[in-house]
Amino acid sequence: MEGLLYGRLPAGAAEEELGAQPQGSEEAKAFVNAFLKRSMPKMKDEAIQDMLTRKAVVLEHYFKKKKKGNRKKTKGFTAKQRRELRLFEIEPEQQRYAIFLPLHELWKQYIRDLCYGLKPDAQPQMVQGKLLKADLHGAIVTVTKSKCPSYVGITGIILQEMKHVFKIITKEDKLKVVPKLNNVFSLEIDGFISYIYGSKFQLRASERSAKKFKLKGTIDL
Amino acid sequence: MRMSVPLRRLRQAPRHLLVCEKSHARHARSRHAAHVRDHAYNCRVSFLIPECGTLPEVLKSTIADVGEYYLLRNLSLHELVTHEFIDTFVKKGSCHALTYNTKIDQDNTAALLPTGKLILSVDKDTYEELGLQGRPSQYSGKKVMRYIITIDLMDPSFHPDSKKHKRVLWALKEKKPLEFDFLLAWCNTGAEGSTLMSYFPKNQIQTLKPKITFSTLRDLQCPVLQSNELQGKPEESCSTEELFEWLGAVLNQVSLDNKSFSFLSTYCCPQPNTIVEQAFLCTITGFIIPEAIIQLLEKLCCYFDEPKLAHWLTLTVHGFADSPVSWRESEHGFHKGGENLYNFVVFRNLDYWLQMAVGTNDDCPP
Amino acid sequence: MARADPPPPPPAAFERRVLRSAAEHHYLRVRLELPDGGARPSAAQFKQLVVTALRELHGEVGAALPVDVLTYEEKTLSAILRVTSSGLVKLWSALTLLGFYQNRRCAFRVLQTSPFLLALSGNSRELVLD
Repeated sequence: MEGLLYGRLPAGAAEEELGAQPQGSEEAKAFVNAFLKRSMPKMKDEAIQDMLTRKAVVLEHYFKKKKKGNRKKTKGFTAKQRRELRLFEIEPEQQRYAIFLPLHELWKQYIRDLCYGLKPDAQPQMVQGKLLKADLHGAIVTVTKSKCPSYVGITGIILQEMKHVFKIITKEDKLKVVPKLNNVFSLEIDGFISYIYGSKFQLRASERSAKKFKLKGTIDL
Repeated sequence: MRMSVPLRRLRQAPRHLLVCEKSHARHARSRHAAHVRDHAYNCRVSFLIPECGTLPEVLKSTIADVGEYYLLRNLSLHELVTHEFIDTFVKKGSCHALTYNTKIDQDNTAALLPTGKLILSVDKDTYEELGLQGRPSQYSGKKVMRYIITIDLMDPSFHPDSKKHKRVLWALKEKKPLEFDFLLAWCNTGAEGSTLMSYFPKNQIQTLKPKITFSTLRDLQCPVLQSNELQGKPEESCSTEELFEWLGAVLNQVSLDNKSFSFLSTYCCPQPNTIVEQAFLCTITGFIIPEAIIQLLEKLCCYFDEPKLAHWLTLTVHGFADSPVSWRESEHGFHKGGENLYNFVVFRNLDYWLQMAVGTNDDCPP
Repeated sequence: MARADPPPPPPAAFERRVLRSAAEHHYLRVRLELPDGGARPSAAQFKQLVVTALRELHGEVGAALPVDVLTYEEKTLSAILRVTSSGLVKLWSALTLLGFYQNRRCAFRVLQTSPFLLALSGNSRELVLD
């Protein structure tokens, strides 16, 4: 059986059954040269010969590196440009408490939805856990404790949350920028009062949603 | 022999100051009355007159005149900054108030000076919650744990409609209500107004009389003093430090006739000394305002108007260990003892020595 | 006061001396706490107890620290001690760590301490009002 497998093909079988054309040695040489020339057009003949005679060619299967499609970057503004355009700033005529009250209502609705209706018998831990990840734009907060006494008592709706500051609009239609560092904020919703230790909260709103807060260290100012 | 730094520190006593002054009571530029007036809170006054058996009537009536004071229980601090209170009491006399049973090294403390300054000494957490501007305590280390807030009630800009007043009232009434027991004394000049008793509800205020004790000390060893020798002279007179210690021994009823080889104690009366047959000691305890002490000092000076056997007499005044100020508005702290006291030695010719002693957390007396 | 009076000197001129941390001694007002009943130490025993306390913590050198018992009241077990300023920490620590008197539990309470003996005669923290 084995002899049959490895034995030569009967003469003529190749031509007849496989349709292969036996080549003369000259022809084969010319073919190989032409093939090499075609696949490596930049190389000179001698170099190819050199490579064939001397270089060991490792026969390996390469995965073709997928060429990343040169995706076009969305052409936005850089932070600098945004700042120059004053995109972060709220126009003075827009700085009115009343305008943002609907935002606050919206926020309250959002928190209630988030906390499964926020029933009075809800677990405070659950509410806190949710609030920790929630978006705070529109919440009414009060500065309850601060290393700097003049911040104490500021109450208003959060308009913007940045990495290090809250921008708050007060009832007197004043826009206050309150740093998170060294301040404790209190936040009330439907009778649940939570305190935010600003020093541990110095993250962007988007980063915060993914951050795992750990009960570690002191929470002293 | 050299000692390592921490070991040396163990041998060092905490810093303390004793300031001795000498001057003449009738001297135009003498500051004795000012020193008394500047020391607002006094809890005990005692005077010792050698060679005196019974107290002259003048002194008796002066002691009786040491005014009564009031204990106000559970007073919200904001009541002291209302304009009703300021107009009725602070502006119409000298009003002294000090929190009672509060410890300055652990609690919040408040004091109202006769100048109309309300001084709060609060811990870090209260300060952060209170929202009133203050300054860190002088005696806190790197990590500030205590703040001093000063509110000038007499400031013209502290009128009822001012932002400042509203803020203070809001902070003390709504933000962080502070409640204390207060010792109060009020001495008005001239016109009789309403009284503290009628101003505050009956169940909150209580009138107290200073406690007065008399005693006569027999065969007392007294150091010999010379008024113009503060430092004393060997064999001739004793120094002010020696007198200061001796007086402490007398007021603490330490026996003076210890032999220097005694097992119990090696303290003995400084040399040279004389034995005085009897000495009169009077102690007044309470919340005593400086005006009363000035009166008393004046009357004690008058004691020498008539010829007397005594060469000198002493008047000792103890301050409150837990008041936020000692002299004037200089900050006071407790550290190990909170001592702030002074002592007058009035000589027959009305020269006087004034000794002012403070402990570690205190400014140098004026 | 029996000395012959010298001619009256002129009124004293103003002079001020500031003595900074110059007190030679420190004073402590202490109270010994013993379980009720049983013998109360006499003055000499009390002093001995203080010396024992010093010896226990600081050895013979500590026991040699000169401490004076200025007053001692057997009824209340309270005393005023005097110690050189450099020995204050030693004495205080020794008193604090003493736990036994004649095989009975005991404790020293340091009520007040001051570089001025006079300060011990008026403690505003003990001001009781009626």
